[in-house]
Amino acid sequence: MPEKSTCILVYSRHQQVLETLEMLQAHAFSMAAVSIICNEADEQPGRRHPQNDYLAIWQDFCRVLDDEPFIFYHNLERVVAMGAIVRLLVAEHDELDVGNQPAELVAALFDLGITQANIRGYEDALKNGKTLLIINSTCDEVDYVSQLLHNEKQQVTVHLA
Amino acid sequence: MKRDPVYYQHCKFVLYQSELFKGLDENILDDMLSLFRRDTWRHGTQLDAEMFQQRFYILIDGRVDVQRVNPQTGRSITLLLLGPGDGIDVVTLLNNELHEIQPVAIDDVSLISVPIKDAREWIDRHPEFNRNFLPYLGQQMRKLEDLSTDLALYDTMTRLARLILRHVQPHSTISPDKNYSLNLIHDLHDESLARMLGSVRQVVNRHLQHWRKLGILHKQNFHTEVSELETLKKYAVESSASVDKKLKLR
Repeated sequence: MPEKSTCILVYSRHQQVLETLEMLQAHAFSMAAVSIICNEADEQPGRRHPQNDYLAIWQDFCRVLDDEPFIFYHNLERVVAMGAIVRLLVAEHDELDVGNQPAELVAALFDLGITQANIRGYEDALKNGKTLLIINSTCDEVDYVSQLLHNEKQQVTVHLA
Repeated sequence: MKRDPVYYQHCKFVLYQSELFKGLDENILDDMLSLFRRDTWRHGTQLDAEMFQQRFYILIDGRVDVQRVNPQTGRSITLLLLGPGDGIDVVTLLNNELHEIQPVAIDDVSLISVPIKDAREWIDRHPEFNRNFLPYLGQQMRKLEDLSTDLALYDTMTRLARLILRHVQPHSTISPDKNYSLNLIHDLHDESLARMLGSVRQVVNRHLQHWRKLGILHKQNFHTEVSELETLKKYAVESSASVDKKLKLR
């Protein structure tokens, strides 16, 4: 039985992500287990964030996660990541059986126990301007968080591998 | 579950095909799905029985092999092979006793799950669900009855024939070459089939090869189908030696 699992929530707006992070903070959840990934596209297709808004929201993320944004390219798009997943994005993934040369993001998500079909789904979500909130922790903690965050309006998916 | 339109419809489609949920009123199913979260288990993941004391899981895609393992010898037997629409460890809905099982995901599996207490409360609120739930439990009990009967009363070849026949898709025929498709076990390794029979890989492999040579089974691209259903049925009721003898006389 794996000791850790990963839960992922997909958000349409950065503000919702920030509210969730603050809720986790209020419940004294360790931010070391939390990551965020999004591309630099705006929440509204075809329009970019006004630079100041964009910076402000990422400053809030930096403050809550106590981390710096890590920028990389995935499928020719600029993707921003922050939190624990950055360590996986820069790791070597020679041992993975997910194609000949998996992209960093694919390999990192695979490392987190996500199935290949779901990885494709998350890639699509990023491409469509969504933000992924990723929590990788012990199964008990992930269950706790998923109960906290799961509701009629927000789908939580828990991945185990 | 948030109504992600594509996945939500997919779940409903799968559940309506299943014994546990078919014919259930759509409002009741919607009410149930609103409680669920999505889960995935990667191929090969082994699960602890304890997690099924906490949450009730329903398979949406993929298969789960529910095993019991002898910790001294490492030998294992498959109690149930579950597929889309099946509940995992449904017994936990009835009582709180720890159930000694070890489910293993044999594909990348997607599921939906709900805390056990919420599932029990939901069943209390919707007694009409019992019209499906009780026959489903009966079906699971019959499968276990078949397993124990086969183990006690039949040789391995007969058990294998009976196992394959139980997985012939109802009203299937029919691939273009008039073969009968198999449900859930069509691409299992010999090792997995052996675990379902309480046998070993080498013995199962020998019998499968024998039937392929006789044209009873057909395997292509790791996909097994039944070509001669009536002959396989003979192996399921008569001793293998007598069927082989009759086939040679033809």
